[in-house]
Amino acid sequence: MGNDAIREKEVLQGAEEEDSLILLCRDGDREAFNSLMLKYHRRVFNTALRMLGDYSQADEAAQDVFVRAYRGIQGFRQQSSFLTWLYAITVNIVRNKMKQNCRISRLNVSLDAAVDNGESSLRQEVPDRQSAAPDKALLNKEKQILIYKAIRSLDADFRVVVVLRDMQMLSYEEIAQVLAVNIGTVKSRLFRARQMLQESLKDVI
Amino acid sequence: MQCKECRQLLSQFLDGQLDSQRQKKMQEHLTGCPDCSSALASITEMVNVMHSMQEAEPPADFLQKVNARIDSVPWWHDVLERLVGLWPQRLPMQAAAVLATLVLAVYISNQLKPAIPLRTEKNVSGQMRTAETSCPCAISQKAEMTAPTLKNELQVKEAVDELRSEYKFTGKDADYYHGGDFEKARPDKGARLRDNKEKRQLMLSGEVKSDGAVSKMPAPQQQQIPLEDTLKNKAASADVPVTPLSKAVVVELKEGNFIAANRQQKWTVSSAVRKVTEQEMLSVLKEMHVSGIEQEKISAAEGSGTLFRFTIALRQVSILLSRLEKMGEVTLVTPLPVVRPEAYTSARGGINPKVLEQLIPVELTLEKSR
Repeated sequence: MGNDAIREKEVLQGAEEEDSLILLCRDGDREAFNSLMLKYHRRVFNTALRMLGDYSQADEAAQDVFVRAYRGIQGFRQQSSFLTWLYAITVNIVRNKMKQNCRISRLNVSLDAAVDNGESSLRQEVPDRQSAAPDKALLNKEKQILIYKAIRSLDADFRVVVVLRDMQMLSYEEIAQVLAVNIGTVKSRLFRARQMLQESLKDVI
Repeated sequence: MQCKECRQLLSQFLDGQLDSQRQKKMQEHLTGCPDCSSALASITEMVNVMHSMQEAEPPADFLQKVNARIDSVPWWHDVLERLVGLWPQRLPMQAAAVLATLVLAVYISNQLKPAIPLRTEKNVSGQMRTAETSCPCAISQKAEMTAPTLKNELQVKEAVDELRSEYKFTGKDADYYHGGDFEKARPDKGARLRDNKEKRQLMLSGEVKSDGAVSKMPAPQQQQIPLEDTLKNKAASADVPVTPLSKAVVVELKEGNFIAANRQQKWTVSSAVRKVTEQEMLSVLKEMHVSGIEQEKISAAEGSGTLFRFTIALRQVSILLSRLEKMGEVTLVTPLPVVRPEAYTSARGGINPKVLEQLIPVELTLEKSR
């Protein structure tokens, strides 16, 4: 087998592996589903957390996502990637929870509080990867908290595009698929969302 | 370019979403406009801070909880949750259960009815037209008879009725609609159909198939053995061929570092910290409009894999690292500079866009997965 063929095989391996797992899931293979869940549960959980701002609610929402995904796997037509499909379910579930709650969760984070088995929404002990000195790490963490609160003050439509783009690092095309809107809508919402965040944070950033 | 236009395009400029002509105009404007440069610096810093936010860890027993819910929650509970989710307030569970029972009773009685006869509609001129389809009934007959899909079927019916009344499907159009090809049915209304958020969300969520059929719910499973125990049993079983590392797989699973993929009864191990693939790397670079990419195969003696060489703008460094970090692992051959405001902000508080646009050489490798 030539080098090009080997390379092509390797490139396809990741996608094929996931396709195989999805096929197995459709046959009711729970372990295959667990493999997919293990691969993506952090992303789904963090998307929910950044939308809802509450650890336990995010935990519940993320569980809902995978329960619904398991029940609906037969209907997944692979017109998008599996992860994009999961994100779409996540956004739907989170939006419903936000409507049910009709309240703003308070983000109580103490900069001095130790991590309590992951109960706090921001991990205090993990330094941001750009920090070079403790005081600068603290400053960046303070900015993160303020940005986090500013994001939570956005309406759902604007909050979701910021979370998907600037935290989950989805492309514009992927966001359009997740939200079932066109790319122009994604661009305008993201522009507006960032503009509102800048307005909220103009004294600190 | 005026400042107003520049400000509206800053977000897209930062994300590399502008075509080359507008990109160039933006750069020219930013060079000579300290206010817009400052705005760019502000948004860049805000986005960089968001990029640097560490992800929180889900609860350690997340998988177990999901599996327990799948096994223990009756199929109608999912329907109930979705129905309750339609309303802005929480219903008491007892009331919701009564409501679910009523809905189920109506649903079951509908299934026992004969097919709905062909309907007639009046067009604008008042002439009677016959709709050559019994659309709602056809879809409900196609749908799987499971209550968890009830809400989906109601939504399908509403969507169908809306389309029928609005676009007056003939038999030919109905065929296209049944095939889920909305745009072929009415190309003049294609944009409207494409933007029908409700239907597309149904499609995307997998709850409704493109042919209108509703997803079949899998039968409730038996009590699921925890994955670790399953692997132990598999390793101990003589019927399943296992790799010599199977015991190590079980141990490592407890640390959450590895996953085991079961493909046709053959156990393999792959790291949860996956390597970025060549395709993903090229996709990221393409999205960032990076050109002049050089690729070189690394020989087996040097560890094997692919070496990438390219140049990116300084302002793109954090974006690149964040995207790659989310996808997996790469090995940086050349350390990348940290992007700090001091690097591109002048003493007067303005910004030198030339600094942000400074090209940084990047060398990284994608090692073959072990």
